[in-house]
Amino acid sequence: MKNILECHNLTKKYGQKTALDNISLSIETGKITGLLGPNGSGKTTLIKIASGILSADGGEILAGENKIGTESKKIISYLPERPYFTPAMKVSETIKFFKDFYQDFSEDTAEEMLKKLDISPDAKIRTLSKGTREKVQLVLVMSRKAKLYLLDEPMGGVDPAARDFILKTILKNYNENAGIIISTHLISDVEKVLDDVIFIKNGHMVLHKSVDEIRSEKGKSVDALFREVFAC
Amino acid sequence: MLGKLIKYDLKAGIHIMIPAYIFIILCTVFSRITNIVSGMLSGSLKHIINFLFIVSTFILILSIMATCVITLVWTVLRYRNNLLRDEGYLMHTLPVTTVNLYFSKIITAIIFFLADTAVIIFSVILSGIPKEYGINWEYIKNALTTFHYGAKEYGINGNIYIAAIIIVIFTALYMSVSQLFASLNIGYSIPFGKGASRDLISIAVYIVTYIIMQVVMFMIIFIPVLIADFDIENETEMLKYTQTFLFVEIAAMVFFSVIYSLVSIKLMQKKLNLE
Repeated sequence: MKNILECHNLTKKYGQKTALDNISLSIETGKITGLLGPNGSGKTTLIKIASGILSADGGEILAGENKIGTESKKIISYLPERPYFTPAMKVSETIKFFKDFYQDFSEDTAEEMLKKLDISPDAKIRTLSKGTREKVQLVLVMSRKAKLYLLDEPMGGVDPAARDFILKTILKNYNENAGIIISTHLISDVEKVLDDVIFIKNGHMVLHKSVDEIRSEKGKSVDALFREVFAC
Repeated sequence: MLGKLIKYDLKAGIHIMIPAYIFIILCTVFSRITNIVSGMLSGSLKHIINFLFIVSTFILILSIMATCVITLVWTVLRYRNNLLRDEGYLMHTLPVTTVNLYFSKIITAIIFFLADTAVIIFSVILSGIPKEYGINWEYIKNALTTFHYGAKEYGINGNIYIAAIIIVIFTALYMSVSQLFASLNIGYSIPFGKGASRDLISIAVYIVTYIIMQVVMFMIIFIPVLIADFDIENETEMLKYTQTFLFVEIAAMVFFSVIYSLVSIKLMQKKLNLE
């Protein structure tokens, strides 16, 4: 399988603090990879560098053989943990916005998903609850036929039913030509959809294995292994 | 892609600016009507209508000032919120260059400032004031012709002079907006502090850069006058100097504009901090 994301000796510092320390990893297409680690481990930093929000201080990162820039952003669909639409925008306007800027965006898919969620296209973003805004963002991100999906805490702050919807949406839009990276703390919820997991601790990668390998070698779930590796 | 970015920036601003422009026009119309009607009446009714005319004119002047302030505030807030805060997670991950993101905001700001000017000029014409003072197209044409002949007598090209003034206006507009944006980018590139402290730092940066710019401009423009020992009472010498001064001023403003723009773009490319 081809690699959709490659990091070689990637380093990022915030002043004196090293958020990522010479990280090297590869993410294959067609796989759902969990990026797991405690708070401040570097997960979000890695995702932000891959999405183009941050620039690395050292090393190299390639997405689909492109350096991070305009070309990589065409193939990467990024969901941050923050709401990012102008509050005055209507849901229908956000759809038009994505359609205008992303050639791989499917308006029909987005409208169908929003209809199922009973979210009115005329509703303004500012009138929606936090959970509903996150659902709108997720729907738009997953309505793109991207090569790489970067989902940063997609299930943070939403109810269990919404989490199930999010996982179903991710699986429904999953295809063999794309890679998905999910950064999350809710490991037990997301474990069932993961193919591979990466553990990050203090800016270092401490583990990169498939879920099946972990279960067969360690005889435990990813959640249990996580608690063991990152025990306080 | 730049066109699409400008489209969305204009759409975001139009919801605020259009009502302001409509209010200005309505105030102007009301003011004009009360002025005309007041002239046709007598007695206490005339005083009442005249009072309405004064109040509406006062509101009109306030609304013009408010619109200019709103345009400035909206320009700053749009740039800050859209590129330096949470909305930046969307904007900086679009398949567009940072340069395009930046120039979209600059161009939109200039369009709205020019729209403000156009609405104000239209309001002045609609108010009937120019007509009262005999200012019409013929008057303006005659004034320009007189200016050209006068300039020629002093050895100055009137067309170039006027073109230079127009370029100064646009360059000053670009420089002012780019200075605001650079101050915001510097304030928001610091790795600590929350929104309010970054805003305060941005304001402080703006004040400092404004003072530095004014000092530099003063030195560029007025020191040559002192060194060359111009005869200030010699009209020809002073007019020739002001023509040169305009081009020097343009060059200085272009220099500052380039610096401010580069600072903003480089900081967004290398030191973007949306946290």
